[in-house]
Amino acid sequence: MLERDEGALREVISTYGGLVFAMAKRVVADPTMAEEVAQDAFLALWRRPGSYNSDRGSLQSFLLGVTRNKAIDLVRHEESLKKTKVALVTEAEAASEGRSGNEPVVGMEERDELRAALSSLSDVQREAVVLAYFGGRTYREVAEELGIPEGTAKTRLRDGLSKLRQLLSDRTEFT
Amino acid sequence: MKSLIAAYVLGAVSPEEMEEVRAHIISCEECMAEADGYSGAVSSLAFSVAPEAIPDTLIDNVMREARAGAAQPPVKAVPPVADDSDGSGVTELRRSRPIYGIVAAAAALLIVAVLAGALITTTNELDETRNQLAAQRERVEQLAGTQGAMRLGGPSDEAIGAMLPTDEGGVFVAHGLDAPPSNHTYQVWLLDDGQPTSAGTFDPESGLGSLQTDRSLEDVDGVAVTVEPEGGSPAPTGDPVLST
Repeated sequence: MLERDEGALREVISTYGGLVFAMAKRVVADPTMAEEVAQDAFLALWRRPGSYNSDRGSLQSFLLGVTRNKAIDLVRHEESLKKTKVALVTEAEAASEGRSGNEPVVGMEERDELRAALSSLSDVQREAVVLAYFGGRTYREVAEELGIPEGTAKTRLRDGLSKLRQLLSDRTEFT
Repeated sequence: MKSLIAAYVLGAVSPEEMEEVRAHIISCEECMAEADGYSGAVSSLAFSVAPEAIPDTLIDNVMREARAGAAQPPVKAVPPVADDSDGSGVTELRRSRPIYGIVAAAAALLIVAVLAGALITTTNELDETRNQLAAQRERVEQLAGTQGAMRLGGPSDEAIGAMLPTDEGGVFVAHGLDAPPSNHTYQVWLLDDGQPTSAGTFDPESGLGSLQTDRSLEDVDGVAVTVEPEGGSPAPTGDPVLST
């Protein structure tokens, strides 16, 4: 990528395009918007290759992080927060049911483990964590959307993360 | 404050709370450790997404935009980061995991707080960069104000730096330095009775420079930054651009 090699860019998109697009869609819900986000994420890497440093983690993590940030920016800009809630929560439920078939090899085992961990959260914990992480909501917005007190929203986020941390702590790291 | 740590690591707090929690974490080892613990769980959430088929038009659209952009002046690639293979005892700050147990708690916090800011900068458009830089400056200023930290200033008010002691040495951050002239780098010096010892070199990225040193700051009574030829110098050769 540092040589601004078009072939390399094409290869990166072929390898990670499906994941990047899925992450974008998870956040923005709309496929057309998701494709725009995915496009922006790859162009960000192309234009500022120095922003990715392999010492700091895998290219996959980097691209997914950039994609999530861009998608959340877009969703916030569009003020379409509420529209995506249903899609988010449905996805969370699907995620907790185990992996779908026909997946490429990138990080499949990690995904299985992650999903297993997510599925062991209580429904209310998972809902809160997913809304905050994929939905870009603050705990106040989570509270408002779910009709629960702010303190309860904070507790669900904390309990959810604590449990995830505990489940993931003894195994290979995600990089 | 403790009840907000998980929300903070998820980015699920207001900008005001973000600053409050950050300021608190810097001075509270317990909350720092808690934030560090959550950060791994949060970063692994991205891996729960299952890939979908790549939209037909995605590759072509990206390639077209990439070619259109190539007509613009090329972006200078950031040079590869220094590793510790030269035995200088210096490594760059890393955002990567594993965070646990490798760096001291204060350094781990910096990775969460400072580099979270750096990542945001890379994902926003130009007109937002100014706000990001202001926030970044404020963060470095806050770090410089923490207990045991040394604040560095420059001839202009633009650039500031902070050297923070950790269990294993020190962590240095600087904001507002321009990219060094070609074939040059910034070098950090620890002063003991006026005698400089190198703490390593760095090149700013997204406006932020950082490095980590395992040299103890115990007897250090000052810190300075100079511009030196690539690879660094045995002793400073120019006037400090930042100093305590």
